Amino acid sequence: MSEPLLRVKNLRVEFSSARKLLAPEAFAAIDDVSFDIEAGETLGLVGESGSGKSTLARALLRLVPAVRGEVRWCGRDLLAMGARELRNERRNLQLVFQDPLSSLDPRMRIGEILAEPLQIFEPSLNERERQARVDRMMERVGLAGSLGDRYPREFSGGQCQRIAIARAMMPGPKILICDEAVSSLDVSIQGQIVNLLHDLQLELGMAMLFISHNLGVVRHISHRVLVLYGGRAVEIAPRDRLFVAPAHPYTRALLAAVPALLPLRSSAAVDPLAGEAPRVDEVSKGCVFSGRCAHAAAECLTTRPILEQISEQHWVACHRWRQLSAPTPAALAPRAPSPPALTPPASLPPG
Amino acid sequence: MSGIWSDSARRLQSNPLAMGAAGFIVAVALLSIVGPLVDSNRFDTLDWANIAVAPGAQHGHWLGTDRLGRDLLVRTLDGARISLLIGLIATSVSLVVGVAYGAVAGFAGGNVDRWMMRIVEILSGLPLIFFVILLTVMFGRGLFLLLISIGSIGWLTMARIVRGQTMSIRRREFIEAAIAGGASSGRIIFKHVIPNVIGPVIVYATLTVPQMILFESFLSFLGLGIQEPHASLGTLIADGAAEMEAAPWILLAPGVLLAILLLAFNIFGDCLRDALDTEER
Amino acid sequence: MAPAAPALEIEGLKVDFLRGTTATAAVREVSLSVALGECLAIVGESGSGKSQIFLAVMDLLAGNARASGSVRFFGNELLSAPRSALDAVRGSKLTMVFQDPLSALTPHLKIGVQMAEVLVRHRGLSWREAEAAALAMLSRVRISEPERRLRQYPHELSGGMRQRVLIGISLLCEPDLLIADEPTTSLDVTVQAQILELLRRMRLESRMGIVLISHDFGLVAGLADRIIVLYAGRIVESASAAQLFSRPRHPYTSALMRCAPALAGVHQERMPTLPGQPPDPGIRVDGCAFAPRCSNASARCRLDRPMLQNIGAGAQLACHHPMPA
Repeated sequence: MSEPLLRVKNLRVEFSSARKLLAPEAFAAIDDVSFDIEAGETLGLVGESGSGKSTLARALLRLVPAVRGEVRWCGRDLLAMGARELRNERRNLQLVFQDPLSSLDPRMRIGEILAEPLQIFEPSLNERERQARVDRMMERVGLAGSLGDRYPREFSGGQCQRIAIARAMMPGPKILICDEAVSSLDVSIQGQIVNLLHDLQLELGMAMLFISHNLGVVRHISHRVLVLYGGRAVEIAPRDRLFVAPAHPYTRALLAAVPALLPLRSSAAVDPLAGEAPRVDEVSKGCVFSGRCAHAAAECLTTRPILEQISEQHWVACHRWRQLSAPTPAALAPRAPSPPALTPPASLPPG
Repeated sequence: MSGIWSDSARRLQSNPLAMGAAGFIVAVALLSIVGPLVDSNRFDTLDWANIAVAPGAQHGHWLGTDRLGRDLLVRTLDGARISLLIGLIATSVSLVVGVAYGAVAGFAGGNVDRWMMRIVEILSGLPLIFFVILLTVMFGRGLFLLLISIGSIGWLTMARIVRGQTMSIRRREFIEAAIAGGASSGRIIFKHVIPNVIGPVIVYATLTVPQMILFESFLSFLGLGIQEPHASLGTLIADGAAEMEAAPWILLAPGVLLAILLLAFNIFGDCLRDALDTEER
Repeated sequence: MAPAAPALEIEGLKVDFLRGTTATAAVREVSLSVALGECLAIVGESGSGKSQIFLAVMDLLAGNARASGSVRFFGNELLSAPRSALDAVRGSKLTMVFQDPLSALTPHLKIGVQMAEVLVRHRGLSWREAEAAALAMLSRVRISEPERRLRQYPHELSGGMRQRVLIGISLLCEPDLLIADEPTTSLDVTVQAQILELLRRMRLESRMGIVLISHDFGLVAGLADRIIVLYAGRIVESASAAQLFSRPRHPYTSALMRCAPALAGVHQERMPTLPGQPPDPGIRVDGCAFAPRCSNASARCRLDRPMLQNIGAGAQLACHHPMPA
């Protein structure tokens, strides 16, 4: 069984803060997060404020330091790499940011912005070859070649995001991390960018980590979905399972909270989830969601649940998931405890 | 990267105030070079017949003469040349050194930044006169030494400013994008940080020129800078101040010229800032 | 709901931004009305002008903006009114809640002070009475630990709590009309649901009218009685919520509804979207502004701008080739 493209194990990132001296165990932006991503697949990462999703993306790229855990990239330890090796490896791990305009250097023309990755990673190319590559990429993302002389501020949000994607694609990455890449765009434009990413993925066999708070968009583009809450992974499942039969109470509340288009499905039926995401300096001994969970039991307040597998590729961190799942025609884990799956399926977060 | 500059240049050229200020400075500079060459008097020619006379055409001294009978017009122009020279060169030195130092410190952060700034703070704390005297003792007096001394002081504040600007730029997303894109620190500092901080830096530089000129006159007043019979606008003003009641014109010409020059630099600096501000829609 | 007298009437509103000699049209022409007890939703994307309309109503436009037309609040003209007339209604009878609660609250004043201030100023209450009323309002908007909140600063509260405070402030003087401009956009989805629930409850408890501005149809679905769809500074369609959701007539409305990604149903590989982008407000367009992106567009649409017409049952439509009824 070959190792996945990216394997994250027990990752922990802490805030650097003076208050840490008083309560060392507190202030983890993400804690004990594990997941895999295979080549060519898209893992959707869902979470709200305080979930740590942006911190996770940055920790994977070593833009913020991780204090514990492991990130194995193509079989190598990413966190232990030296500076030079890391810089070289960056061509394979690219990032697209939320705010398209501020991620582009305002003082550079977009032709120069796109040429820069080539200057860094393929310095042997001459000017003409570089220009040809830039033109090809601009066309690929739907921008006319003549626009290369303009500055970022002359473009709309959607166009800037295309430029940012083009820049990320220039070195031919193996994985693209999109941090709320479409959240600041108009609804009618979001689809253009999502479809572009989808096409690029099919064309180049690229993997993607798609971070968003917008469940609808995540559903379109992801193969599997990881749900983060308060810095912890609470559920991982294949896309269709997550949206049809979510196991964790937070996932269910999240899905119920999204306003529906058809007025019939909306409002009165479900009471909205009370309370708010935990503040960063709140520390709970038990389950991080227990403060807001309508089904919290005594156990939930004292013991932190760990991810356990409940079916094929479906993991959940909840003490009471069995009681909460409505019986469905599809086979769920039986009531009696059964041994965990013996043959590891394709994406297995290590326990 | 030439695009940004040509856009800004175009904007600047269309601003009459900026062009006026720049034109004035250039005019003074040219005059100060050409003028003393064509005038029959030199800056140290002593006209005993016309000691301390008021400005007038009858004796050929358009701005009058000073206590030693030296023509003030020539001396003022000469002084302007020397002052401008000192101001521009010292500012350039402080610009080059200060920008490089500050950008590196601000970008590196952590201990590197801490120690680099400690050095700046210590140097700032040193009494500069002591420092200049030390240099004078070691290398003797002269224009070159004066420039080095002044420039050495000037870069300190420039470094602080650039460091501050760099630190705020560093948090911007396009810097994070450059790091994530695999750019080396050197590349980021020179291709991304400096071009984006250069705006306020250049404005500060245009304000530094007058500061340098004033600092120089202070040194010269103490006998550490421009020595007689040469003069800068600063020393002329110092001389003229002593004679203010009896012969006010000795102070007037260099004083007014210096004031207008400083004003022109300030105006130009402001217009330059506006022209360089590409973020403004 | 029996038709009530219009609380707010806007007629022929135009808003332009001037920069030197160039004028950018944010609102090209809009006429609408809101009655007491009614919830009107304004849906549009960037460049539609949806916020600018109501910034003009509240006289909160930027310095280089020029508004023309007529804005009447219970018959009193607001656009050309003197400052004193405006101050009498603004903040008390006609209130507005914004997208970013943090920047709408004064950072260095405690919550209690900011709330009480409104009552002291508009109702002439004493500080003690005003604080008591503020406390009561905080309970009404269901904020946790209301006594403690009064003594806290805005940055100590979470986003959802700040928005509750803002809504509370806007309700203190029992307004006739509350304008909510993207009130939940900066909030988590789970908190958004709470705020919508709050607005729903406030509506039931009082006669006030609500204007809800959003880019999200789903958001307004549970609240709105009527919906107006804006594109490039003009109204393209206006209808009752029930009618609009069941049979959107304008191609933009129907396309925009389809663009909202679905959480249920068969999974589609490609996300529905519109080609192109909204037009640049600085450029004058001949014909229909939506034509370049419209699947129903004909040659006529590019030359002849469709006028907004009544199509019965209180609905309006501006289109030469609408979707079938």
